[in-house]
Amino acid sequence: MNLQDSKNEDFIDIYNKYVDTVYRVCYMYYKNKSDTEDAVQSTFVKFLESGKIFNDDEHIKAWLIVTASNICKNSLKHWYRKIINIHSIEENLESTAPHTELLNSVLKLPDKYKITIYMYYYEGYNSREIARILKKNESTIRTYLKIGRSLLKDDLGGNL
Amino acid sequence: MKNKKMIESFNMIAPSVKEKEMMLDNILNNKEKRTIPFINQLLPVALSFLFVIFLNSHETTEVKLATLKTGSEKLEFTYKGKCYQESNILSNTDNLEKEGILTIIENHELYNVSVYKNKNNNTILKIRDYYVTFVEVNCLKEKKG
Repeated sequence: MNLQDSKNEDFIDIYNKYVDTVYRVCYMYYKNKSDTEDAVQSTFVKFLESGKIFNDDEHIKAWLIVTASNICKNSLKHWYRKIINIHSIEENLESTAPHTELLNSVLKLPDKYKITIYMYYYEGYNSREIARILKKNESTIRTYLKIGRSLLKDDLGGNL
Repeated sequence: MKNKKMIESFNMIAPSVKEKEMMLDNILNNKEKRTIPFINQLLPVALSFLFVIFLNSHETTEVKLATLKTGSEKLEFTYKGKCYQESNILSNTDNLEKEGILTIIENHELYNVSVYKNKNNNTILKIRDYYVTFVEVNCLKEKKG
């Protein structure tokens, strides 16, 4: 096996390990499969091209989450997206996966709250870890969690 | 702290095995494409431009280039010294006259849009099936803004 094959194998291991995570992060922004797939691909291409040295797997995962979020946020500001978002809501709804009521409520949250809620309740990070990954103050993250929970409770009419 | 309901909900969002394989294939192919020397990437782009110009000249329309400004709330672009800004006008899209093709440059990406004029002389860009009306504005005002 040559060096390139070996590098590809390492990458494929990482990809298989984290593709679901990256997919979920991107899906939270786009809420449809085709745009999510594009963003997932962009995230991993960036990973390949970054040449970054990572301390451990958790470092890789955190980097992927942040990079995916940034790619999605930047893309949603695109003028093309602005037009399509306004007019093609029906198209987006047709290509979504089935959702629970809770998931629907999370997806409706503003971006900063839903990413924090996802990282806390699904990925299991604590507020300090989320703050470090997202490069925010821990108090800010606690506020995001508090507001996010409150919005979810209002929407769901009960506890999480 | 993980939440069981949250986990169950988010677990519904996941790509299928086939989708994962397709994405991986695209990623690895994309990586290979990007190792092509830059100069070799320029040539197909240049040829594409020439081809588009050739095609459009046969349709008796011109290919025009404009740089789109997206930082502000409204879309803006400048073309041949004139400034255009996205308008909230709901333009009549009946009896549109095609003016040409505009190639938009934005963040190093290129998009082709059709340019029309309506009977009110509004400039309308069409992307996919959607029409966006632009009005000419004073370029000096925009620079101050």
